[in-house]
Amino acid sequence: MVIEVSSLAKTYGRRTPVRAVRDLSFQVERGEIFGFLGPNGAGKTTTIRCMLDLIRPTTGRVSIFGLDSRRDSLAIHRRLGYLPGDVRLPGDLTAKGFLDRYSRMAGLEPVLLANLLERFEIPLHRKLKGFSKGMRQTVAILQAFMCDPELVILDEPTSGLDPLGQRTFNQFLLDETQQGRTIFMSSHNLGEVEKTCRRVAVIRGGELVAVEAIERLRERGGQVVIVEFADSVPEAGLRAIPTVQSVERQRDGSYHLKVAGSIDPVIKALARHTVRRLEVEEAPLEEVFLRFYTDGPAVEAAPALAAAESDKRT
Amino acid sequence: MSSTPSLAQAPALVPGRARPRRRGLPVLSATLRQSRSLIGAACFYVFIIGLLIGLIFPALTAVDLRSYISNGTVGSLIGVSKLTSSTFSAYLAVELYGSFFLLLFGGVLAYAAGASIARNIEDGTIDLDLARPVSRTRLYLEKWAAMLVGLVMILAVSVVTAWLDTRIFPDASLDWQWFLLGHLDLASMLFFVVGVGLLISAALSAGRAAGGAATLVVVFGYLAQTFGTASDRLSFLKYLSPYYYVPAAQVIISQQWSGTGKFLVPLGAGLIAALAGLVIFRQRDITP
Repeated sequence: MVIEVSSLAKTYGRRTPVRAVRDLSFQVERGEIFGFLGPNGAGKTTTIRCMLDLIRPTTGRVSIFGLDSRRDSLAIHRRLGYLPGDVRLPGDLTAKGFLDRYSRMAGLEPVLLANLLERFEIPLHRKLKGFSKGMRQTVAILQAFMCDPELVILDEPTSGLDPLGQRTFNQFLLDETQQGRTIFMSSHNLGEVEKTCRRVAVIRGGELVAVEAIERLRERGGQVVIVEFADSVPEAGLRAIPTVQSVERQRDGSYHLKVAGSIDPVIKALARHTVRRLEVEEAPLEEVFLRFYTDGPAVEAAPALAAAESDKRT
Repeated sequence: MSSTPSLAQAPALVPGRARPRRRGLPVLSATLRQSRSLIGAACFYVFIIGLLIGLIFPALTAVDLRSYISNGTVGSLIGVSKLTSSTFSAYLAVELYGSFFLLLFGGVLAYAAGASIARNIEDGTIDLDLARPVSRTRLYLEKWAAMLVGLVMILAVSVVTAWLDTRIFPDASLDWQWFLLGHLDLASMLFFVVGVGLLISAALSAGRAAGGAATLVVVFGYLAQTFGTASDRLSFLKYLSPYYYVPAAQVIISQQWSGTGKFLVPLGAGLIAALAGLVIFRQRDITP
């Protein structure tokens, strides 16, 4: 286990306390890309700052590499790289000067820098103040990876990168896990998470809504059946199929049936009619996340319970 | 906890191959870089003012500064209670090392120290620093050391400029022993200012606000000295000003040491303030 967050809670302020995160528990295993998702103000950055010992938890603890994030912060920081969410770089330094400075602060040679520069092109000898947002983000990414850390914590890593840069970065992340590197990544970009992460934690209002494998989430999203009949079929009959969640009639006369659970009763029901066209698609993952972001009370982190709660809601 | 299969079969851990390298003092050099405009400007003005006084010294002797300063109010404003000689040392002390020095160069150093940590918290660059294996104590001590380097630079420029005066202008002569003792007093005063600046910087998260607050402490010190010296009813105020304990200009003019006990007061207060700042910085949450 690389990261273990146990019952983490953080409250800001004394007179009017604001609970930023509460009772957060999850684990990240070695060599995985772990996504940390949630809307703005959900507590993602607070959690990351607790991991890095920049802020101190009110209760609970964070363990990284089996070490306590507060007591052993230096030993942990020797082995990790970090990309902050809002990248601000000293404008009076060149990119080379900046990378050299942070390599010195790490006390480690930037052994991966040459390889990284083959993938991410940046003008090393130009001052950072002349860099675009995307270029600054790229420099910060290089800074996080250049000393070959075992764990990299990324807060919104692709914000500011153009689509090409995002694609290069996502491919880079996948290659990095082949090297055995563990990556903890907070993101708003669901497409990016879908492409790169094996598991995700979803946080809302400071509480963990779910910790699950992407595949499980995909399953939970259900399927969409697009069907076009040769004859007229009453919509109420389609709604009556046990696992059909919703029915939408399209302008071209076809129906979109959202199916949660087994598709078998749907196929059997449709077989009673003359079907002209039939397509089955997975529901977009985005819908699952949006449901997490907006639905009722948060649920326990345990996936089984989360699934049960979600099933109850659906 | 997790429903996913274990990743125990992930490839053997390869990362962590980087060889160690010498660290040096990256925070110190970055802080000096960040404050170079302020400290550079302070050094420049010390140099220019020092040279100008050397240049106009013959003309200054024609001015009856003695009776001017004997007026208590003017003396309290300048920070010199009596002018007992008309040497170059004395005129240099009146024009450069009186209250003016604390107000201007102390103010600059206070601002630089006040902004040193708070600005990095405000702009988020401290996150990158502290995510490296750099403890908060080390970061703070390097910031402190950077400000002390600035202090030494300002005083070194002052001494070098006075030496240049003695080489360039034939009438300019210095009694080095008292001149350097006066600079020890200045060092004690500036040490206090740096300590207070760091304390404020450790507690706040906005660079300009922290720098401004630290500068206001210096301004208060000047006002306390001025009112405390000028008015008997407000004489208690002078004890709140570092200038009461280390009257550098008066030491150079009167060739009289103010006493080791008094000299240690700003030093001790500066040390306590800086250590209090360290305690606060180690405990606080780093939130922009």
